[in-house]
Amino acid sequence: MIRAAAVTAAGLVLAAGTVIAVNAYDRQRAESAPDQQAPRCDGAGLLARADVRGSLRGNTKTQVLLTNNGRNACVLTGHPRLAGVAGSKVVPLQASHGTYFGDPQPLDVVPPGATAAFYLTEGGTCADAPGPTRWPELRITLPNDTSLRLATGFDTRCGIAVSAFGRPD
Amino acid sequence: MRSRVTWSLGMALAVLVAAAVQLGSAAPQSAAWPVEKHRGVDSCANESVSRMQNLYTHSPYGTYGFYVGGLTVNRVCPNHASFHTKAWADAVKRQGWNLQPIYSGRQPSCLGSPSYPISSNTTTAFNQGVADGRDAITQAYARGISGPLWLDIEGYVANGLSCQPATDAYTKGWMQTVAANRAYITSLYASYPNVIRAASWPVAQRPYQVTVPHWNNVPGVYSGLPNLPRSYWVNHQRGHQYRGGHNEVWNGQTYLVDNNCYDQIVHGNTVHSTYNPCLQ
Repeated sequence: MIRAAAVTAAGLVLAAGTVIAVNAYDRQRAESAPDQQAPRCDGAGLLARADVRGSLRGNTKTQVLLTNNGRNACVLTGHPRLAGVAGSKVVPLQASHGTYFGDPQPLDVVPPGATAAFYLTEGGTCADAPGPTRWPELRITLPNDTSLRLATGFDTRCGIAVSAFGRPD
Repeated sequence: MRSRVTWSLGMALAVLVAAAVQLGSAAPQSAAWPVEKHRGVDSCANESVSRMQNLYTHSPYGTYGFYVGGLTVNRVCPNHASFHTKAWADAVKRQGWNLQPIYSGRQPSCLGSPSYPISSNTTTAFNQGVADGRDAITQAYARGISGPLWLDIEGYVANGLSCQPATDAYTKGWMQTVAANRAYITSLYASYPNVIRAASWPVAQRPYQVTVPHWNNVPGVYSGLPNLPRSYWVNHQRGHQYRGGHNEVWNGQTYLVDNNCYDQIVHGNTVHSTYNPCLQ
């Protein structure tokens, strides 16, 4: 009776403390925890695409989706590093951590075929900003120092910010 | 760090009567809301009541902007509108906060690729504004919010002229609908060109007060908004968003906010001490 009530109340936790996997992310997380034996995600195994969500009070939110195209799960934590790419020109960008839109829900392990995300925000109402600041392409560097490209126009005139990696909205 | 006094109805009446003659704007229909001459923040985050208390106690801010609803809000800040219930609003007002309720519905079609664009047909756009105005009132009322209600129209630059008529039609539909409800005061958050055009609209469709984004870190609602003519929106009808999204740490807790100065009516029952840089 007590055990049943505990299961009902907690929803996800058994009396023994075992986490019930509710989807692919959680299942992979449960299998990988606690030592996160999966390797860190590599740029070569991810496919990036931009999902522009919209703007509020001058802050534009782009959700960058990173799909694991590899055959194995990988670990993706921390924040990305960014560089603006225009032809052969690659310029590291100073992106602050923490966006107006917060961070996505935490995600440690990305199963094969699953998608992780981070938020990228740009502002559009700054004053007297120097140019040029429009980049046709972004280079995203992952915590393991590998990178991948995202072909999307991006304006850094008013500064940019990135969230931590997490689950897509 | 911040002092406040109980709002006096007499003070409100004096201010609002004076405001009624400016720009030919219709006077606010009630005198139940304070003119805030202070600083504040807005946020897309879902801040708990305890974190709001921490922010109020340890920061210099007196007004908090949050989103009451709208299609864009639901897409960009998931669960934000549903998080901010009447119970939440009542609790933070008891802490001393005044509120800046914001509605973000459809957006200009030339603003990148908005998920919910305003129709390019001006008649349809006006009707979309009417529908969103009704929804804004419904959402605000459900949270116990009366008084000023802001429509968020995001700035557009590239190909802007192509969507200007439809954007104006949408905004007019929203303003006219909200103004028709005497519990609410029409307020517009938009960039310079939109706000300046709106100053010449018919009274029934003209926002009573405006907030303009200009991220120059100059707080003043006049000196900080050099492109807004000083003769527009002059009688406690201006707000200035002077810094965009960033982190601030207060008493060890991090908040993701924009910064605003107010010299305008907000929702709440606290009058905070005047912060003079906002009025310059």
